[in-house]
Amino acid sequence: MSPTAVSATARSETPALVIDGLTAGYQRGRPVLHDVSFTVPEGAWWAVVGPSGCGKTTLLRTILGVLKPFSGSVTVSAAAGARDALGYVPQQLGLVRNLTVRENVLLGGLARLGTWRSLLGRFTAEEVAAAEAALGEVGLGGRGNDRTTELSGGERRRVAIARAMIQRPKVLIADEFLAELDPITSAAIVSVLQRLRESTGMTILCVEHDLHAAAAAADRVVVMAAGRKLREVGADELEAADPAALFKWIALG
Amino acid sequence: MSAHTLPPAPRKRAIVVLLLAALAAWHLKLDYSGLLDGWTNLGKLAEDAFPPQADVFPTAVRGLIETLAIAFLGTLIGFVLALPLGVAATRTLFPLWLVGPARLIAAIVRTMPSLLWAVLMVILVGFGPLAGVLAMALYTTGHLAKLAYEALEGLPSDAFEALGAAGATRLQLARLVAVPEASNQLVSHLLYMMEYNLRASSIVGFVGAGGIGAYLGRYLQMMQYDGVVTLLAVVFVAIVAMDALSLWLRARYLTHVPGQR
Repeated sequence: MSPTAVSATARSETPALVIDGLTAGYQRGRPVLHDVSFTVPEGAWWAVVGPSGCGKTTLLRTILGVLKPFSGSVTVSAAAGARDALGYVPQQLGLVRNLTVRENVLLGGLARLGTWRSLLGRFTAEEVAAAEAALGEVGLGGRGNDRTTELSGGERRRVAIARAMIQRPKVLIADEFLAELDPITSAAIVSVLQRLRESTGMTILCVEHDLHAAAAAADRVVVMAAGRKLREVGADELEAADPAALFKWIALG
Repeated sequence: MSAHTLPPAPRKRAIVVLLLAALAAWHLKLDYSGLLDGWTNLGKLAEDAFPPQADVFPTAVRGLIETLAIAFLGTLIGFVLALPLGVAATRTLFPLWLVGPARLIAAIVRTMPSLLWAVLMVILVGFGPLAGVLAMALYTTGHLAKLAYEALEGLPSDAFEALGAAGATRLQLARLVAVPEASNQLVSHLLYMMEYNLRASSIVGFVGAGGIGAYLGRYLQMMQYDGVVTLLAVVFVAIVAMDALSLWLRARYLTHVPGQR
């Protein structure tokens, strides 16, 4: 293991993403999210878990800046001001069907591409090489010329990860990352992300409705219900408990 | 339980529509004896028109080639102008200060039918195919721009959100995400417009904007119906051939892509 990887693995307590008293929603006076606060340290993998409609996606959209908060703030302290500090993998992945796998991955680096060059759709040899390397990292080496429509659900998800890797974000935000995947594919994707996190020191925040999937991947879980943060638990505490008792335990405290 | 008729249950609305139809016919003071004359005239016309005049054929082909060229150039220029206009008119990509004017331009250009554009262009640039090309191009611009922004707005927003978070600008999203993603639909619209413009450009010659329509007008005025039939037959064959070509292109290049709407 290289020295940089070791230092990234050692969990620092420098905050990467600070959510402070966040209240947000789609209509003024009718917040969906109530006063949510938590701080994700640099290099950590946190998951937000809760039933459908508890405000998980609203939380993500507010963090991404798609939605303006009514009050409270989101700070990406890892990289102040950089417009490509946040990487995002939407639930539906957002791949472009008419482009190849390689072209989809190249799109992750758009922020570094000048306006005129990007209007011509020109990517340099280094960028193409970086895209190939990212595809190799997620186990899709040599698949660059495939259409994304020819891939399986798990492979498509890995293309979206490779696209986010090209961007080199400080914080990766993923919505229902492991949903609708079989356990083997899900485990494979988690290990790909774990490896990338070790080598780049990137912070991950994902949203899951499946408590166990989340606990298997993340270090720490934020449990939400009805737009509020119920509690924060370490993944090791969750793994110990049995699934039926788990939700009861969390809900009742 | 009362009886129930599945929609459409037309009774009342049908009466209103029939009343309106009667009112329209009364307003026009339609002379129904014309129907009888028409029947006898049809016989005379058939006698005059057949056999079709074979020596008009070379003229017809020359006219058709001109018409094809007008339709092709008009469609191409219209498409090139419509694409940026349609992209600028896409609400999911750009702010209202750009979308509003872009839509207004598209709507104004679209309002006039291509034949009226042809009249206007003949006044502006004189008789000849240039007027036809400009008329086709303008009408095509308005129409394709509308179809383009509707297609672009119908795209799912995931890719925009993912790459927007990654720091991509709206212009980049338009060029590298929206247009490639909608390209099948855009090409399909282009083919449809080519078919439409071939029909329309065989007419613009009537007002002096070039193509086979000019010959059609001339032979009609001279009441040489055997010549008219030759010209019409050539137009008919060309339109059927264009539809077939368009169908083949669609089957070959568009329908095999999975997930196509």
